[in-house]
Amino acid sequence: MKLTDILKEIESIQPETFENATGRRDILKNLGIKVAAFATPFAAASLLSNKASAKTTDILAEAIVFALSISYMQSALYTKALATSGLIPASAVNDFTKILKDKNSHVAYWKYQLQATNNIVPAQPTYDFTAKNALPKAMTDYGTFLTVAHAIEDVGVRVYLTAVNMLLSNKAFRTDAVNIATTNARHAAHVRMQRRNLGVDMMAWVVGTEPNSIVGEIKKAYQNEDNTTQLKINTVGINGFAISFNAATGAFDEPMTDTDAKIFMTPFID
Amino acid sequence: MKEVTTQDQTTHESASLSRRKFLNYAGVIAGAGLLIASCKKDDVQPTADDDTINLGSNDTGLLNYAYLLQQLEAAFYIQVLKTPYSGMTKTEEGIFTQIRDHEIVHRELLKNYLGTNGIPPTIENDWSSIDFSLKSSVMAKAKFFEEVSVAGLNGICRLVIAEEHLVTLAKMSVVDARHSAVINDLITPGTFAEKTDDNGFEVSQDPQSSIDITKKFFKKNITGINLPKY
Repeated sequence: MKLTDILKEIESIQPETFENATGRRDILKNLGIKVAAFATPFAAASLLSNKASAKTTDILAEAIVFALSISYMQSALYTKALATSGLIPASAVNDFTKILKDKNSHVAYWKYQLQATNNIVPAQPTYDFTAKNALPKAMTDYGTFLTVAHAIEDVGVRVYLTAVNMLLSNKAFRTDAVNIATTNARHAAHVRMQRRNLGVDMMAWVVGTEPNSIVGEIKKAYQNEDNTTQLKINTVGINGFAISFNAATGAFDEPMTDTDAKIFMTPFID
Repeated sequence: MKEVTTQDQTTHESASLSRRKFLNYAGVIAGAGLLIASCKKDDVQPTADDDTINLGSNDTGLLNYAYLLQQLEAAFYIQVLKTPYSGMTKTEEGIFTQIRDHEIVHRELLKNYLGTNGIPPTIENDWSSIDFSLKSSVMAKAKFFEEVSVAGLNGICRLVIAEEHLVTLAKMSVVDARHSAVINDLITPGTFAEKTDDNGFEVSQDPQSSIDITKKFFKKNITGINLPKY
């Protein structure tokens, strides 16, 4: 029996207990379920290679580890940036401090849930935000930093959309994931508008695959963001309204596959 | 055509399988389209009489509430741009225009998807609490509508059964959250995520309390009495 089936049964029997976070943990503990099968040691690669062990790994734990992988990266980015003297202008320090606080909470929350359900918590990798010198000024030039930051924020939104979907069978966890997804979207919008304020022609939302504003490793954040079909319905010019490609793609963020996420994240991991 | 039941059991059992497909092929959603058409006997279909619009039950009702939220936002921004407040900057106009178009896409998508299960497409608004000639009034309401929409969509995401409904609504909600952040920053810089709780989570809202807030912006009464509950 898969864990999702067990959870579903518990949910149908004790819906109130199950929806309560404490009750959820107790139930999982009492059943002694050990679901994640991530290889040790938890080098960076194992964090990103959970797909390989998908057959023996429960989908809920897999979703949480996937979400954690981008939250780890975000937390590390702002921790490092705020500690780098002269990178973030004084006027923006409060904003990035707030964002970092949220990211750290997301990391702590998922680590806690993995521990509480007897899953192994992957270690946080160390990062190189220059992506092996593809973006040499990532931590010295504010504009380059914002570019890296908005790409990582936009990927965060996309990874969480995938996590929401993977958490379908668990209402509490899926709600957690969607509530983090929209928080990440707020962060992404803010970072993008900071970059706009430096004179880059971009808005708070992602338009197509952003051909005009991206270079190198950043481009990988936007693979398959140019979807114009939602629920099998074409959104460009929908029902005769003057809806452009830009508006149609800007109206939705697209979930990111673990394959695409890995392509984006790997160059940034030491 | 394959018929898909909306009962919890079946959807949950298929979750793992369809997830594999999803990860390999995200963006293309399997099995869409017919879910809302296959209703159980005790389903309550949406109705609209002279005074009251009933959103209906199950996923259909929840999608109708999402549709109502997007109708509200789209109508608001259409009016903002039709009767701009004095001193609207080019930047503000550009932002409002793009947000308006996103809301129209959301609205029309749900209209088409719901088809005959949808509530009426143009429910007349009650704008008596808004002064469209005043920037402060427009900004305050834009902030309010975006925050209510994100919280409401996230609450709907908690309750929907079908996978493609969940992911599509979540995809809309994150863009409304981007709108919300921009509007908040326009009003007070740095408040882009002020609505999140101490743990950095958006505070989602259940449909019942959300409807209580939004229905006063419509001239007809709205009821979600048959909607799934938290």
